[in-house]
Amino acid sequence: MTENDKLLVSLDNETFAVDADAVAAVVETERFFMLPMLKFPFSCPRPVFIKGVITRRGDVVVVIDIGSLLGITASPDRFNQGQAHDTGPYRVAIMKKDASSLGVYLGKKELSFLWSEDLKSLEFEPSGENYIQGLIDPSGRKIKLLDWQRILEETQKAVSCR
Amino acid sequence: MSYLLHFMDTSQYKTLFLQETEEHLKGINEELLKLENEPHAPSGIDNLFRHFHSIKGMAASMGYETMASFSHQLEDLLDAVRKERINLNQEIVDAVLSGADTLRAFTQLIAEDKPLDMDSQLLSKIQAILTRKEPPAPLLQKEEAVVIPPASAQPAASKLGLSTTMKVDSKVFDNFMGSVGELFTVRSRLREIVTNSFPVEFQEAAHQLGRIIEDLYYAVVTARMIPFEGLTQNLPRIVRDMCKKGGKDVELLIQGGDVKLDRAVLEHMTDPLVHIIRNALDHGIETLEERISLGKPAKGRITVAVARQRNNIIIEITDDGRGIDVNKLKEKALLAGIQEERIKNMADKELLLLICTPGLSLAKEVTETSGRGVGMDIVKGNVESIGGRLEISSYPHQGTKITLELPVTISIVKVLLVSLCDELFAFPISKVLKVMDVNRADIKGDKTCRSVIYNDTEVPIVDLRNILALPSLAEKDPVSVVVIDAKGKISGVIVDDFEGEIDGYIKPLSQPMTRMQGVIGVTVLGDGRPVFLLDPTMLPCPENTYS
Repeated sequence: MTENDKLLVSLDNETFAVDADAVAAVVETERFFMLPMLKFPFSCPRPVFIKGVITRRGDVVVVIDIGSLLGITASPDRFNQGQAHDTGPYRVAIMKKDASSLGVYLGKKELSFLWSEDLKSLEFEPSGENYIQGLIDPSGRKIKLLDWQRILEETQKAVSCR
Repeated sequence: MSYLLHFMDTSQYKTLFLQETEEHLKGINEELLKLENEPHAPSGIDNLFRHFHSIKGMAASMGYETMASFSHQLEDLLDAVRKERINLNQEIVDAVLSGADTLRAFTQLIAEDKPLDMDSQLLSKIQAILTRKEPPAPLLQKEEAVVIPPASAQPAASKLGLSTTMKVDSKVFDNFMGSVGELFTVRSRLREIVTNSFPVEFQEAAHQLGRIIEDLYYAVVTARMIPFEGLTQNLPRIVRDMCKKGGKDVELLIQGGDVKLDRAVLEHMTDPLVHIIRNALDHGIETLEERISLGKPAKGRITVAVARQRNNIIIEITDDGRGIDVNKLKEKALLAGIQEERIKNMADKELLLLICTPGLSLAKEVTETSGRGVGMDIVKGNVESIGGRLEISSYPHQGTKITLELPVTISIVKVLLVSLCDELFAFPISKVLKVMDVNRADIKGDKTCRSVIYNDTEVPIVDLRNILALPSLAEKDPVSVVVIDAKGKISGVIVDDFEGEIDGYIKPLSQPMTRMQGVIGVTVLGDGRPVFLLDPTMLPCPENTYS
C-alpha cells in the first residue's frame, strides 16, 4: 500500500487520488494549445481524452481529461465542431517522473488532500478497473487511486497512433 | 581513487567511477585488437594489465567486490602471459575480451543499482587456462623484449599540478544548452518588440545582448562538439566479432574521425551506424570463397568517411561487397504491397531507398544480426528525425554506398512560423523553398488533388488544416502557401498566414510525445506559446509530386 500523501480530484460523483510525490505542480492556464496529430497518412482518430498541451518553465506538457479517459464525462474540445467549451482559467496538476510528464485536468473543483497519517489505518483494495491501482476507503467513501504510469503509456500510444 | 573511499559514502563517486571504468574498457578493447594483429608488441600486455589493475583498484574502493575479484582473475591471466608461464593465443585473447564484456555488463548493473552476477563459466575457463602446463612462449625473444618498468618504479612527481582539462558529465552541457536555447528564444522575442519607437540606447543594448547570446551559444555548441571517432571506437570490435561468426575477413577503415559534431547528433547516430555496418557485413560482403571466385581481394573492405560541408556533416559508409540486387528489390517491393506502376516509374535512387521500408528485406534468411527489414527503417527514421537525409547508391558486384547528410548541430534551428486557427507551427527553413500568396482561381484540381504553379512547374498542394483535422477556414483569398522540399520532392502546404522567421531552440519531444509522427521537436516562445516543428517529409506526398 502506498502510504504517501494523496492529492484528491473530484469528478461528478467519483473521487480520484494521485500520489502527491508525483505531483510537480498545480498550475492554472488560460488555454490549452493544440497537440498536432497528423490525420494523414495514419488515419488515426484524435483521442478525445487529450485536452491539449500547456507550457511550464519552458517544457511542454500534454494534458489529459481523466473523466473522458474513464468514460465518466465527455471532454469538450474546442476543435470539435458544434460543442461548447468551458472557459478558463483551467487548473492542471502536472505529474512528473524523470523525463516524463503528464498534466491532469482538474476542472474548477477545490483540491483536497489525504495525508499519510490518515492513510496508515486504511485498507487498500486492489481494483481490476483500467488505470486504477486500487481503492482507498476512508469514512465509507471509495477513492480510486490512479495508476498514472499506465495512463502515461496509454497517452503515448494514443499520441503515436500505434 | 583512494582506499579511504571504502569507508565513506561512495555513491557520489559512482558517476566518476563508471566514466573512468568505461575509458579503461575502451583501452582494453583497443589493446586486444592490436595484440591480435601484432602479438609481438611487448607493451600490449603491460598496458592491458594496467587497465585491469586500475579497474580492480577502483572497484575495490567503491565496494564492488565481485567486480574487483573478477578483474583480479583477468590480471592473473595477463600476468601469466607476461611471465611467459602460458602462451598468448586466440583462446586467451577471446577470454580477456569476454572478461572485458563482463566488466562492461557489471558497469551497467551498477548504474542501475542492481546486484552483480558473476559469469561462472568464464571464470572456470580462466582457471582452466591458468592451471594448464605449457612451455614458455617462443614468440617473444628475451633479447628483443623491451623492459617497461612497473608503475611504482617511475619517479614520483616533484610538485603538485592541476590538469587543464576537466571531465564534465554531458548532462551539464545539455542543461547549459537548454538555458542558452531559452535565451535565444528571448532574443528573438526582444527583436520583435524592439522597434523604432524605442530609444536608440535601448535598441543598441538589445542588439548587444543578442550578439552576446549568439557568442555564448556558439561557445556552448563548440564545447559540446566531439570528434566523430568518439562514436566509432567500438566499431572495430563489432566488425571483428561479426567476421569471426560469419567466417569473413573484413578490413574497417575510418576516415575523418577527427571531424567534430554536436554530441546530440552523434547520439542519434549510434544505432544507425551499427545497423549499416551489420547489414554490410551480413548481406554486402561476400564469403571468402565467393570473393576469390569473383577475382576480388580475399579481404573485404568497409570504409566510414566523414567530412564537413558548410553546416552539414556528410558520412559515407561504403563496402566493396555484392551490391543491392535491384530486380530482387522490385520483387520484394511488390510483395510488400507497393504498386507496380509506382515501382516502374521510380528512379534508381528512389528504388534503393525502398530498403528502408519497414518489413522489407532482401535477406535470404534472418540472422542473429539482421534480415527482418527493421534496421534500415530505424536508420532512416533516426536520420530524418534530426533533419538529415539518407541516400543509397549501389552497383552489382562492386558494393554499396550509404550517404548520411546530417546537421552539425540540432539544437537551434532557423524556422518559418505559420499560423493555423490561433495556433503556431513551424517548418525548418532548410526545407522551405518559398512562401507565396496564391489566388484561389490559380489553384487547379478538385479537393482531393490540387496543384499550383511554382517555377513554371505544377506542384501539388495540401491544406495543413485538413492534415491536422481542423475545421475548414472560411474562404480566404488569396491563400498562403509554403513551398517545401519534402523527401527530395516539392509540394505546397496551405496555411492561414506566415508569421516570420525565428531561431528556435528545438527541444526533442519528451514522453508521452516521443513517438509522435510528423513532428521533429518543439520550441517555446518567449510568451509561453509552444510551437511544434513539423517534419515536411512526413506530410502527405501525393502521387503526382514533382521533383
